[in-house]
Amino acid sequence: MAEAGETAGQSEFLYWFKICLVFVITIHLFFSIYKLDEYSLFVLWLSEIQRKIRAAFHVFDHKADNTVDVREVSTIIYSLGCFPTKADIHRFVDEVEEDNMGYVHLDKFLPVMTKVIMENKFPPIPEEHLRQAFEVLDKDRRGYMEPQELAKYMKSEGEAFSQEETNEMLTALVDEKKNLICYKELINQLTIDPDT
Amino acid sequence: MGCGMGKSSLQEKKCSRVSIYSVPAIRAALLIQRWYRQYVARLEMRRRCTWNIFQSIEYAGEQDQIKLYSFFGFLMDHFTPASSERNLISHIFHENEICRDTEWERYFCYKDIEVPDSYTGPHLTFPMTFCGVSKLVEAFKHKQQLHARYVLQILGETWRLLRILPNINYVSVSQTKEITICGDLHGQLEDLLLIFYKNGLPSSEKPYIFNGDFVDRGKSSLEILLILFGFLLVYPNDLHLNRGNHEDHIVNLRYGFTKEILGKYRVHGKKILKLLQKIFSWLPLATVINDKVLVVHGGISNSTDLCVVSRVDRHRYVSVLRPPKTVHQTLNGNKNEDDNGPAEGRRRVRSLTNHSSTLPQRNNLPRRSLQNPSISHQLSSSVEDELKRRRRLAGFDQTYKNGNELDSDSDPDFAEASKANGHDWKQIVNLLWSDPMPQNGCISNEVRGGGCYWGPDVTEEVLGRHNLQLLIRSHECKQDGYEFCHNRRVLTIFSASNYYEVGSNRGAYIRMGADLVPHLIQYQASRTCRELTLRQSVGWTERSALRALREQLFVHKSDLIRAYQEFDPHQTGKISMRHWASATESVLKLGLPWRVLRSQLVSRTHYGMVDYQQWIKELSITEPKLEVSDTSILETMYKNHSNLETIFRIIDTDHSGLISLEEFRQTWKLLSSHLKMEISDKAIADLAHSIDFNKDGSIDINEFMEAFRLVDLSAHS
Repeated sequence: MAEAGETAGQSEFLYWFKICLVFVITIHLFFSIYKLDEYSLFVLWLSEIQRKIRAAFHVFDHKADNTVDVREVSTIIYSLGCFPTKADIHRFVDEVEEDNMGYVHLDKFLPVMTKVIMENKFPPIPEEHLRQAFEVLDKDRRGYMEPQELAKYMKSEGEAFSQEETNEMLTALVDEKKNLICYKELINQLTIDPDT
Repeated sequence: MGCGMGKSSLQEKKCSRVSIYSVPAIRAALLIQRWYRQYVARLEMRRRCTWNIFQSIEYAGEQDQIKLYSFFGFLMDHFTPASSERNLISHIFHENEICRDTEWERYFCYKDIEVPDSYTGPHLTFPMTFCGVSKLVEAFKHKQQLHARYVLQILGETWRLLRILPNINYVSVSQTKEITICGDLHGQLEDLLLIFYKNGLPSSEKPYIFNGDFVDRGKSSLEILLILFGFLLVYPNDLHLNRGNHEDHIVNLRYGFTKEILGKYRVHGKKILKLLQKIFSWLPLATVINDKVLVVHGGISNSTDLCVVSRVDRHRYVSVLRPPKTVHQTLNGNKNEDDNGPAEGRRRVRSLTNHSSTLPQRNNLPRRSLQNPSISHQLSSSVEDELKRRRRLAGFDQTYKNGNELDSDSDPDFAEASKANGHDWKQIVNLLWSDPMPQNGCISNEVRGGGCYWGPDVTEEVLGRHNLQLLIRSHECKQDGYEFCHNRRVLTIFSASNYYEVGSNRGAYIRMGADLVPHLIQYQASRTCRELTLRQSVGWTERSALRALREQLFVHKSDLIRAYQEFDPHQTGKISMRHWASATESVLKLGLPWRVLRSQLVSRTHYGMVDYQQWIKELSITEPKLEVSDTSILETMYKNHSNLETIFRIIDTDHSGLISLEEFRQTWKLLSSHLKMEISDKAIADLAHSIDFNKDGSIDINEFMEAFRLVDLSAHS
């Protein structure tokens, strides 16, 4: 009995081993036919990332001299799909700003930003975490919050909002008719990110 | 132990610093803040791209207009008087006809115009009073139209008043008397009414400065003018108007003011337009507050000299787009003209701009040169001297700073006067058309086609030279209604909210007291009852911009396909995104970030390749409502929609809105000369046959233009 079991286990193992081998060989063939080795794949991926970074950078390069105002850096980073905290942004800016001159040159921005994307340093917030965060503040789990409730948290906690940011947020998130922030629906609507 | 009290108070302090919220709450807040900031930033990126689209298309249109006008100037200078083409347009250059003001007054007389009993609009009595103007404002608020008799009456009075005003108004503000400064209004009456609502009507306690561009684009240009002129008549010392680049009948032909007047006043429109031409030329050029703040519509150049400006005969520049006739008489009369050929003359005619030796660094800007800076050096010395003189006349010489240098020249009086004219004219163009730039220097403004780009060093120099501390200008639309630049020494103020589209930007105005510190008030006229959310306004504006962009792509169909095919030698029908972006830019020359826009313009890509043939087909813009066999002429029509309309309106000398078949043919001939294209007589005849003629064999301009207006089918918002 034990022997039969072992043989069965062995043949199963052999079966899967063969599958894997075939798989690996196919991939290898695929790569060699299309002359795609790991290195060129990597290069392709890298150049695509850098093209995206350059394109976003240039939207704010008003002087057409490969520099942007340091205050625009956060917008550029966010628009590339990253979710840094304010502290993250301060650190980033410290690395890339030209000696407190108030501007950032593409030559410094590009490598640092590339690293951020490749290492996924500021990953997006999963919808689930966002919902949970709202539920922490909405203790009774009603599915909505009063505008002033949320405003209170935003203005006094974490990396606090300014009054202007708070006002803008309320205009953006409050449902006119109910005068409430129905966060469950909002999360669905607002986290869909069009690919740039 | 001894400090028991101290300890507890210390602990209390510590407690007040620690949050009353739990750690999870703090972390939750952090997360939400991070998420929200990212969301806002993405919207900002989209808003910025949308903005660039609108602005590029707007400036390209302005450039087009100036090119067209330059082309007419070229015709005037180089075709024989007998040429029929020249005859069609020569009348627009007869601005400085030797006609006395008294004769004009008779022509503009309103007294014979009867106001019928059926007229339900406001009745005005003269002299104007505050009540009268308020009544007028109320009437316009209720969308009433003022009778032509009263229009001509107000305009006549305004004209008489403006003639005695100086080129530069000097005003003062005190502790008790603050002044309000507004920027471009562009026919948007809602914005003017909103300003009056928030800030109060003009009065001797509430002085106002309106910094130009009252007309064009919006639908209520005339109403705005009448209100401003009304207040001007009642409070001539407390309401100040500066001329803008749109207070110019040539610009009005293209941007809608002429159309508005003719639409509203079918019988007397022509007279009203002519009177407005004169009024515009008599508008003051600038205002100075407390000898410290300069308010002017466009900006300055490195050669701006307020002493020169205050001495010019401003009313001789009915249209600022072209130097006055005497300049050309000198230039044309010279024997060396023929040596250099038409090209040289063309260069001079088009030279509306300041020419500098500083090489422009703005590589990414659309560079449609209206002028070729290189002038031949292989000329003999006498001719070279002549050239130098003419160059100085047209304003190329950088060291030419003020009028006093004229005396050093030994030329005859006539030539001297002409030199002065050229220099004066350049001063005015720069005041009305220039834009600031971040880099130092002063270069020609080739994006708009007129005026210059001036840098922070020029600001410092010019302000310093005149002992001023701030320059307030308008001319450029700004997202927040205002923008500081050049170390806060230049302030741009723009008062037409939702300029490009609903939700595109806010408007703003300035309040300034004796401390001369500008206080900015922003607003946004909302067409809907409630304010749009951030996302909605960005989305709306974006859709509109993309629509405009798709139209541009559509009208350049054949050029685009040709450009794409250059990257597709094997004719697979597909090109990479990178090639798509660079080919599109090479055709449209709008300087836009095509890669960033690609996802919104091209819906499907296969492995990063764009199927361009399919995509162009899918641009889904409707074909015209009429059957035309020759499709190439159609494309020319679309591309030159505005040019065509402008030419039509110029040709329509009696402003009836109708032109004859022969004039229609001549229009196309003119256009084909301008574009240097062959348009066959047969194609034109075909086009003509496809139109409905009125019984007397004439064509209605509006109907024709409507029939060929593009409608974006994909716009279902």
